[in-house]
Amino acid sequence: MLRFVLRRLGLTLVAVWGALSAVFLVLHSSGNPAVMMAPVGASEEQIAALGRALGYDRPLAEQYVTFFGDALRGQFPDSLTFQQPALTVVTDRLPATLTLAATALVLACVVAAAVGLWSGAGVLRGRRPGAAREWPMGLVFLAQSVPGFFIGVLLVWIFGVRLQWLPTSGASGAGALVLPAITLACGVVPPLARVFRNSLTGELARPYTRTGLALGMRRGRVLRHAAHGSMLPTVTVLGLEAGALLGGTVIVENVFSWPGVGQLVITALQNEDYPLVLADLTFLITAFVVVNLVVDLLYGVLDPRVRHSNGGH
Amino acid sequence: MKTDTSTRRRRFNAGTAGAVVLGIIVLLTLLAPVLAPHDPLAQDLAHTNAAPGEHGYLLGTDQLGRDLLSRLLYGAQTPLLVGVLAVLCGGVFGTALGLLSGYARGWADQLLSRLADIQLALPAILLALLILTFGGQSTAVLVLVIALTGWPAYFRLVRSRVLALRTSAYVEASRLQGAPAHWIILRDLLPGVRGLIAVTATLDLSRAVLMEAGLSYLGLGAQAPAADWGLMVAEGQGRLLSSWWIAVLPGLCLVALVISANLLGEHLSRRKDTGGEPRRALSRISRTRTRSAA
Repeated sequence: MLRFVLRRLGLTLVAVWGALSAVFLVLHSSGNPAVMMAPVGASEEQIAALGRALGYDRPLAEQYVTFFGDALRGQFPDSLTFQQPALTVVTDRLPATLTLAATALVLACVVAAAVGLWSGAGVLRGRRPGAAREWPMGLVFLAQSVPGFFIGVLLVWIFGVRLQWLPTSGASGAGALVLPAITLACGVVPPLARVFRNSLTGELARPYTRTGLALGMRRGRVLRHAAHGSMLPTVTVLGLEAGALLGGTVIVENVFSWPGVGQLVITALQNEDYPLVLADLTFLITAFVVVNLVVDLLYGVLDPRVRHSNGGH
Repeated sequence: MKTDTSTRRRRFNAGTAGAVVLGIIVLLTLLAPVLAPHDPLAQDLAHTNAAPGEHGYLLGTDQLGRDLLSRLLYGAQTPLLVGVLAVLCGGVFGTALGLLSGYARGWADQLLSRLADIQLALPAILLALLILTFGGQSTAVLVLVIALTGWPAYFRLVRSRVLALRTSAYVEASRLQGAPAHWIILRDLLPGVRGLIAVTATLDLSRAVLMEAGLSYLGLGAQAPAADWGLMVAEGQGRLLSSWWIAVLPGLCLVALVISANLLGEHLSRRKDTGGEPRRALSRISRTRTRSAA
């Protein structure tokens, strides 16, 4: 177990190092990063002064080391529009993003379970999998092919503009959460439903299903046992999607003006508040990598086979 | 094989439909200068937000009175160009590294595999935002960013296939005859992974198009006043109440493009007997995760 944890931890540290190096590299690829960190219309002297204050005039190798230290301690240049430390602005927006992501994750689980169970029930009734009866899986394929922002725009059009049932922007009240959560869930349901359906039909093909049915067990009960057996791969994908949701929030929050971290980064970009963009993206990328680590560790706890394997391909 | 004959007998299937739709979209895009009734950038400020059919505009006009039909015809140029170039760059890069890695093994293989792991551990869309913000916004950067997040799929699939192929009798025979490494890689191994690459590239195209559209929607891809489906959805979103067609029609075109590439890719992956590997690898990429070495 220790070996497994250390291996994972090592890979995560390397990924964080890679991510931060990418940030550093990109930041300096433009030449003088102080130009981007200064307010619009700043004079040459102001930019030079800011560059000295932020240490951009030091040798690159030294900056690389200090950049790491600063990033890990969460120290970024102040936000230009908010006049506050950039990371504080980001963490202020975090609760909204987490609320949205958690709601979407729960919703996606319910939908994926329903789609998978529908297919499983069909198999139990002796239908061939993949037949036209599996129309929910067809819908899943469709959802996979529609860009997230367009699902959002369609929902706004139908439920917000036409039917006027739900608010389409902002975060006032529980109603405002519905459409963004559905949109975000649409990105997660396809992989989740796929893996659940496939492992469920796999379980139903095993001998214990036939034994159960032959003994006169009700179909619903057999399905429950099979669903239990197919939990592990489903939970894995579920956990991994939790990390992917963070990336999805950037687009969904912008469709619905949801006041979260993802909307903040695009607003900052439009306001040319580059320190804030830098802090926001560094935070999100690091969070993504860390969430993936936690999920991997949880998976090791759930499935003993993982932590005993020595890894490698 | 039973399944083979049954697919061959069914002349028209989902894969054919995907190929046909994809072909039509490519053809319409190429012929846009001939087919478009108006200049996609020409503004008719007297007839803004015209409904489809009004004032002689077949699909209406947008907020600046630009002909929507013309803009739709031109609108696939950026997604297709960026998508194809990104798939080419990512595909060539990933395949080359995969061939080398699988053939050479040893420390080079270890290093490249870890590099692919790191790439997969970084969220694609956030990385793209970062690079486009601080590295400059241009079509070239857009292509590179999408290719950068796509190469590990090719790398992994090609590498694992090469690992299986390199011990097969014909490669062994080649080696015993004294064939040089580049000959074995290009003449013996590359043909063995061609089908796999074709399937992966088709599915990767839909990923690349989706990413281009997403970035254009966020304002980091194609720039106004260009006609680009993703950008057009963003421009029309604020006018859903009065003129829904401005945002909805380009979105539907985008859906048609992505679905057709997905259908074709899924069909090819079943036909070419790749065991569904490319689809799994790509869904892994589009959602960017680290589940790999475990």
